[in-house]
Amino acid sequence: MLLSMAAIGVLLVEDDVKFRRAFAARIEAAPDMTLLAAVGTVAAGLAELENRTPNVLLVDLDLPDRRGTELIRYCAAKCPTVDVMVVTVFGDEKNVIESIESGATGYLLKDSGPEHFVEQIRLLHAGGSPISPSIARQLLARFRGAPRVPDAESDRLEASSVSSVPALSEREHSVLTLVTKGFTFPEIAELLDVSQHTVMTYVKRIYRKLRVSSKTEAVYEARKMGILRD
Amino acid sequence: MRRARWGYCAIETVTRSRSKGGWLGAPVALAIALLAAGCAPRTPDVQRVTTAEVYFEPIDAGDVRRPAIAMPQASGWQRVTLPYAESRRDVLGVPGTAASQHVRLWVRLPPQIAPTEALQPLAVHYSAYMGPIVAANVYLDGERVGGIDPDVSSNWNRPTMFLLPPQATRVGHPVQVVLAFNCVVGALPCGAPSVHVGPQREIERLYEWQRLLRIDGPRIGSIAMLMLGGFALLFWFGRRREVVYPLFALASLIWALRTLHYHLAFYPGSYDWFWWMTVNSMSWLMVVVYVFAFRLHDERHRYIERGLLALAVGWSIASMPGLGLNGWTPGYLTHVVQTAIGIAVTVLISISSLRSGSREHLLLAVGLWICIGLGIHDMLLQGWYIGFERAFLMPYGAMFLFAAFLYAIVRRYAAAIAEVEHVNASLEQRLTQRQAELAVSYEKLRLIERQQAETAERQRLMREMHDGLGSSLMSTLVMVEQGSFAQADVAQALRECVDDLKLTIDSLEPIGDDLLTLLATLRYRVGSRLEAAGIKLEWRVTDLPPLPWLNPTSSLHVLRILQESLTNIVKHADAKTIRIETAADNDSVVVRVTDDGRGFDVACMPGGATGQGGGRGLLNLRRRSAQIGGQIDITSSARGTVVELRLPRQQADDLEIDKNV
Repeated sequence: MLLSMAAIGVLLVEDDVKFRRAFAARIEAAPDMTLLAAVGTVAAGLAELENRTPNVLLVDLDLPDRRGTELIRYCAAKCPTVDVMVVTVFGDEKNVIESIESGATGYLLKDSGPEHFVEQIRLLHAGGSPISPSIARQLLARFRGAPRVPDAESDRLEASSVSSVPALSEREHSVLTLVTKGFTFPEIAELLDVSQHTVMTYVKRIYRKLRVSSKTEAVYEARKMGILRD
Repeated sequence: MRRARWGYCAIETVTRSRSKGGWLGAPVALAIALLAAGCAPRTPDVQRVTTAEVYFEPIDAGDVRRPAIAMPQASGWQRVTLPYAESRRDVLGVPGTAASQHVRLWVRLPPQIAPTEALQPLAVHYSAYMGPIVAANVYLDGERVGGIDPDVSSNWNRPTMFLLPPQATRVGHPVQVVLAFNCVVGALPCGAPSVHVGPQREIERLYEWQRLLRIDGPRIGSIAMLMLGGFALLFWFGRRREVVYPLFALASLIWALRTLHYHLAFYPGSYDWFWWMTVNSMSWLMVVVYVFAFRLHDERHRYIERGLLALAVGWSIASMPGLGLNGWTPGYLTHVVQTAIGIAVTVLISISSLRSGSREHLLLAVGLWICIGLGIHDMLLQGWYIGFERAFLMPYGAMFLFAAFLYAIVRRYAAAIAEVEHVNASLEQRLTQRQAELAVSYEKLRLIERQQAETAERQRLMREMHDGLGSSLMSTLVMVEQGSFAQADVAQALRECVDDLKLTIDSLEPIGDDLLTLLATLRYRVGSRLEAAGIKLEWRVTDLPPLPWLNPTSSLHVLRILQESLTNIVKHADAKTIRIETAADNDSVVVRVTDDGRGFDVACMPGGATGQGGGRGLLNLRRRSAQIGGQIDITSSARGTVVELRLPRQQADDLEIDKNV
């Protein structure tokens, strides 16, 4: 799984001291990772982001000063290369979708075992994003109205800045459908006759589209309410 | 001979109203003047001749329709003032007339000189109720130059105009105009009206005005009322219960029949029947007026109604031509009968209007009293008691009566519309009110439902805390406090707590009615753990039909059943592979969990005695699957175990899957 030999720089924002210590210990124990900083507030996280650009940002959503999503949004806008990962207890649909819409591309369960924990970070950094069946189902519902686009075009969509509500490609749609049916990434890769890495790319791309789509919706809502002018 | 007795209204002509005035003609004359809309003739060149010489000539009955062959001799003329009336006795007192019932009254006007500037022919005009005059002729300088058509039935009511030949009216040349009236000497006197002489154009204007007053006015009035009656009848077709509309139509029809004798030049059908109808129609009209007036207020006085009707119909039958009561005497009696009926109706309606204050009755009473007044006027005119140059006014009196009719009908119609509007408005108001009430009760219902849902959900969570997570945590805590747990055991116990919590969270995920996604959620949770335990998971799922009954509660049941099965396999079966399959048929869906472990003896594990503690066991599985209307089948052998959960596609409504999680 380790594709890059350079150490993965991780910034950790977690207010619970016990968790923060436990996570910090796991990251420092990993030979391919460097803990850049471990802070407990959004403000401190923002300050850290001013000074350095991590490879991976781990954020808890429930932070004492502000919502973790604000930090995610800032990071996604300021340093789009950073992989943002939300640390959550249950990985429930509401929190995860909110995080992805803010710009996160993965989430991490707090009760993951130490091995699993760093493995997830590596996976994310390597381009893979976890996705649960119920979240996949929500995403399918979210994109239902939009027309399907060819896969080639979907690549282009990703490259350019998209102003309209993005649509899923056939492949992306297939991946989501298979996820809702409980198939794992390796199984999906086999069923679709692509590599597992490709499947993970699809998922990450779907996450980005969700973010774009939520942005577009936000702009549309703002225009409707007269907050934004054309 | 009879005709003169039937018309019995009269008014003095306009030209005479100035000189005679009129004790009751004044308001009517005003009304008629308005009616004629300023048509009152201005006749500066017309001369009204009021002096003449008359001569009575007895004639044979057979000559009564014929003009005289020759003018009478020069002697025996007497000088009189026009209008001139001679009583029957006086007529019969004329020598030679005693034996005759028929006389010719000669009227010699003073010599007439056409005005110097008159470049048009002279004309002669008179308007009067002449009684039993059968024929009238005009002579100019001893030669007959014109006469009225004796065959025109309504001559008794017609104004008369004669044009004098143009050659006879040279400027400055005096002409002698003589009129001759053939009379039937009877109850009425014999007489001659005043005569207008003047230029043709001026005389025509005078004549037209009199014609409007006596002929066309009654005709126009009756036609107008007939049309209103027709309108009322059409309206009645739409509202059959409103009896006043056809009554109005009937009244207008009767009045139209009644008025025919004023203006019809030739009476239709039998002469006798025509007059029978004309005379009796007055009684009919009065009965209809009475019934109308009281039906208008939904009143009904049976005996009075029947009495009036019996009188009117009885007399109508008795006076039918050919039934004996025919002739002059019953004619007068007919007048008595209809007068009696008319006065009775008028008095009854007047009393009612005074008693009830009904404006409709008041107006009808006023109309009726006007009619009675005009009727008296007409009767006096008919008897020549007030001269004979007036016009009959009853047709105009009827207009007042019909105006009262119309007022009543329109008021009723307007009231009906107002009532409908009121009903509509109040209906609308009630509808709005009802809607508001419904909205309120709906809101209440919704509130109650929400409260019930919240209560149910709270109770569910409470049970969940109490039976599931709470008791697990509590027993773990007790064991930790007793120090009887190794650290790994504590971790394991707590992990199971967290697992259970996650199941609950997963059951709340919005997966809709999709069982497959629910299974997928389970796999997503436990997949890595199975892998860590060295067990391979074969995922052999197929698309499943939607399960409409799948809600968080039933989802949790499904998740627990399957998790328990998997836990059992991991803990006890020592399996290498687990296969999860799905299938569906018409009635149910099936989830099958197969392992290749060492199996167990199902028969040895009855009921809850599973020997595994913590309430986990086969009985638990069965209880849970029964609660969601499912069925669980477990077969086990040395080569492995198959747990088959069969769930119905449709749930019976009475299955209370919300309870006892």
